[in-house]
Amino acid sequence: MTPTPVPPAVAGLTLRVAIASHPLPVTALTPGEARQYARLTGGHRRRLWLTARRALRGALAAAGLDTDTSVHGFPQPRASLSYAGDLAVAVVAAGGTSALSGLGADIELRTPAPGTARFFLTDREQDHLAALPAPRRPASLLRLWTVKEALYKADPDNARTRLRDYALDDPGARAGTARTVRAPTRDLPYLTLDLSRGCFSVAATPSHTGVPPVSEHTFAELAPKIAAFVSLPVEEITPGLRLADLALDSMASVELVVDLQEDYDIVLSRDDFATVETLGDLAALISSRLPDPADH
Amino acid sequence: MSLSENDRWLLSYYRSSEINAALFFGRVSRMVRPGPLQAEVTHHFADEANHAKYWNECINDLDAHPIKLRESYQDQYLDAVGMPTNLMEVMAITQVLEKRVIGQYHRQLRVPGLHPRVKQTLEQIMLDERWHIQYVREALESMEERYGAEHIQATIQRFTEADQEVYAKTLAEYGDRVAFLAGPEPDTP
Repeated sequence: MTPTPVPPAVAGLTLRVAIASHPLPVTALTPGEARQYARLTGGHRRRLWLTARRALRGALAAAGLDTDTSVHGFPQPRASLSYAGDLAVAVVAAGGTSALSGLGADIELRTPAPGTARFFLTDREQDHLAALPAPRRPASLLRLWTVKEALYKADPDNARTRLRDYALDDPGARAGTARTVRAPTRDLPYLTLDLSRGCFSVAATPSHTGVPPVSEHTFAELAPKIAAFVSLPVEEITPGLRLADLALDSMASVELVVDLQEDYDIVLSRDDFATVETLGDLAALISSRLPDPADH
Repeated sequence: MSLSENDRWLLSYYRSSEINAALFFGRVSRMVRPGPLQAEVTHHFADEANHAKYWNECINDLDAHPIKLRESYQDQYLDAVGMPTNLMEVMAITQVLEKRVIGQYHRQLRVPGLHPRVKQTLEQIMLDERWHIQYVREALESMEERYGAEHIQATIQRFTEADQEVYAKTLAEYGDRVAFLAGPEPDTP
């Protein structure tokens, strides 16, 4: 594993980054990781997964979080993984996660063919690229590609968004902001790091829900209740799990949300659920309605 | 006298709707906190399951078997209004649906030449339905402090308007099978 680079500060967040080029030994896996590993097929896929575990453990440790990677499901708003060749990179938000609804990382080793730029760059970005001296264009194209991929991965509402829809305010900036047509007033910060091989970018989508982050304590309390409604062991219930991916039938969804309201003696409305996508969002919403212990 | 195919379909639709209501209230029975409402919704759950049994027995007594149906009025209604997001909405939807059921059964009772066995089943079920409406109304009144009286009324109003729309669509969708039910809304409690 390469040394952890200097943590970049993006929009008030502290990020921890780790890059790995060798797989974690299977003997070093935790029981949860070993179960996940056993479900994988194919030597290449397993090797990449183990390399990513090594990177993720490094970033989690640097962030002061539990390094058992099996308790951190993906996708999730506070961490991102990316692979290229034999490399894996992990980014984990260590602080300031209250402002975060998505984090995306992308590592690329090879410059894309120049003709592909029109598929992921805006007209303005293409003009910027064309204005550079020819020898600088490949590196800039590679950088812009990683930025676009990172922005896309950081965007929790990316289902109908193309890479071209993310427009960089200053296409020449290695650290800056971008925005989408969908939310033109919302700054999407990004940062690029040069590597000895290739290029790596990370981007963040600030939270706009107004829902505060769920504490580890609250989620740990909620996880067994949620597990009772879904066919998953409690250790696989993570804040990043999307409600839509739990395959709950509509009545089970009703039962889950009403049951939690009754248990915690809180009231949630239809509007409250408009911004709830993940179990972490749900837990944060519930947590935000609980009386402050200091009031008692 | 045996059942016409239309009658057999309609009674089977009633059975299917009662089954779905029982499944719905089975879930509600698990959500509610310990207390009087918990006992009432559990009773309600059992009533709905019994109503499905009554329709099954009624159809059998008329020398037929219920048609296997999955659709129900509740499904069409919930598709239209969306799933409830809290216990007050669960009870508000229940009140609207119960009124719809009792109104529908009233219409059926007025159909000329109604078979006595069907009439008996309708009357048996309607005894329970009146109690359902009463306890749900009281439950909603007891929720006023928690959810706000105006908000509850607005919610019931929204669900009632949706019900009227869905009911009209249902009559149109099932056409000839239920043509004899078309007409002005009967008075409901």
